[in-house]
Amino acid sequence: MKVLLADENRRRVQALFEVLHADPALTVFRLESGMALIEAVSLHAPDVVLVDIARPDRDALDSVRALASTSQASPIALLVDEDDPELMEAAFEAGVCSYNVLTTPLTDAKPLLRAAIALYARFRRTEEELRRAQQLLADRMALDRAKRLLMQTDRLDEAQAHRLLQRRAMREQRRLPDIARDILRAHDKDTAR
Amino acid sequence: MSDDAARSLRIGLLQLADSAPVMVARAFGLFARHGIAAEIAVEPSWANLADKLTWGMLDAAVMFAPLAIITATGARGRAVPLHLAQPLSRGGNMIVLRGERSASFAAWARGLGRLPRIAVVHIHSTHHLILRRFLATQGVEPENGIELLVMPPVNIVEALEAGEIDGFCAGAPWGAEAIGRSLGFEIAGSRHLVPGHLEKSLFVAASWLDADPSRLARLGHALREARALCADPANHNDIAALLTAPIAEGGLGLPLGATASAFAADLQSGERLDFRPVEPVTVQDLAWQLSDMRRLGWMADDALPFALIEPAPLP
Repeated sequence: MKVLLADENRRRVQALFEVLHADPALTVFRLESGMALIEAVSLHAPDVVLVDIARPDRDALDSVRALASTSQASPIALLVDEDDPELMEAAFEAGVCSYNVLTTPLTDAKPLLRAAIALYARFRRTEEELRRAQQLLADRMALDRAKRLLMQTDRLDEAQAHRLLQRRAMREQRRLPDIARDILRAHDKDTAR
Repeated sequence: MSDDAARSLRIGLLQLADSAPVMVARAFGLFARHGIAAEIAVEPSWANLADKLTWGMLDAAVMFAPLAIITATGARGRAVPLHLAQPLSRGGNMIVLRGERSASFAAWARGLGRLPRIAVVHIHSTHHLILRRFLATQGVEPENGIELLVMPPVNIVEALEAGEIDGFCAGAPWGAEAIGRSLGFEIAGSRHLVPGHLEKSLFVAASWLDADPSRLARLGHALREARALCADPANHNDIAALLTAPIAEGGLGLPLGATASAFAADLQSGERLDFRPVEPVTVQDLAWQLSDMRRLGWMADDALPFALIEPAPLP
């Protein structure tokens, strides 16, 4: 069975390639950078395509099926198992999906999707931790800058500046760092004038 | 399920000018004022939006009716009950061709020297239907006269610039952006082919609505107010600033000049988005899309697979 992997994340696609490559029943291709997904599908004629869900050119695969009557391409569709909705939810949660040539049996494609889900979920956890740490840092910096600005422009001490931000956040039902960013943006705009 | 009732409404949308009512409802505090907790997810493509709606990662989406119909009926995988909760915009789609203006599509295509590669934003889009209607006015058969491609609207101007495509049909601000960069010219738009057609609506998953049906009216009021703000020229600078802010700062990262022109009230030529709140949507509003879809074999009959449940305006 021929499998095409389409993912811009080089470490993740390498990890998935190694897992699947170990299976002698599979021939695994990676999408080369710069090549459109739909071109790679017609070049390699895979039975299964495992795709990073965030890839915008995934849209083009939708049309292969709709346009199948007018082109030579085999009809290809998102793998959907009506009896196993949890599998699909897990796939979307992890950020991966599988497109299959419609003649590929579901039983052949599902283990591939499961392997990809496990791997993507692991990558997602570490990315999420990194993203959260960065977000926290950015929030704290914005808050500090906004407070310093208010202390200068409104002649407040730090506690007063903090309370002012807090009151506005409560009134507008928004997060404190977002209020801080608003204040910084408004200030930037005023000084640009 | 109390859990579900308390959770905020997750709305998916794309980087387009007609996402404005939802963006405005959040930024101007209209959702909050009507007691709706809403989160906005900016998705990279229409397939992402439809899939997330299908598999429960989103509760609502700003979409055109053809994709909502295909999603609701399960033609993309699993059927998911949807409702059209609020119409958001009319018109705004533009067909842009590469290079210098020609008298007709045929004359332009001859000058090209190859089968024109024309992109639409999704196969099941109003843009695809409008492109086909345009080709019919030019006596061009879509099956033989062009090569049809699909790509997300946000990538379409770059693709034209890179020579990957020769033209496209897309929503604002992407047509005006291509013209502003002198990459091509507008040969037709919504206003020529289906004047005032319903373009985007907010579709909500039945599961979200069923958890607390009273939310529908509040959601409707918030969005009607947002539409009124979008339609008022006095707000256009603020809205353009909102939509052109980076995504990380709560905007949509749209190009400024082209976005402003999509809203401009005094623009005599060019395609203009219409956000004015009007009478509730009827099946008649969608009739042209339904009949075109049936003719293309996308659906068996003209029956709408979802309810039009737009709440009545406040007195």
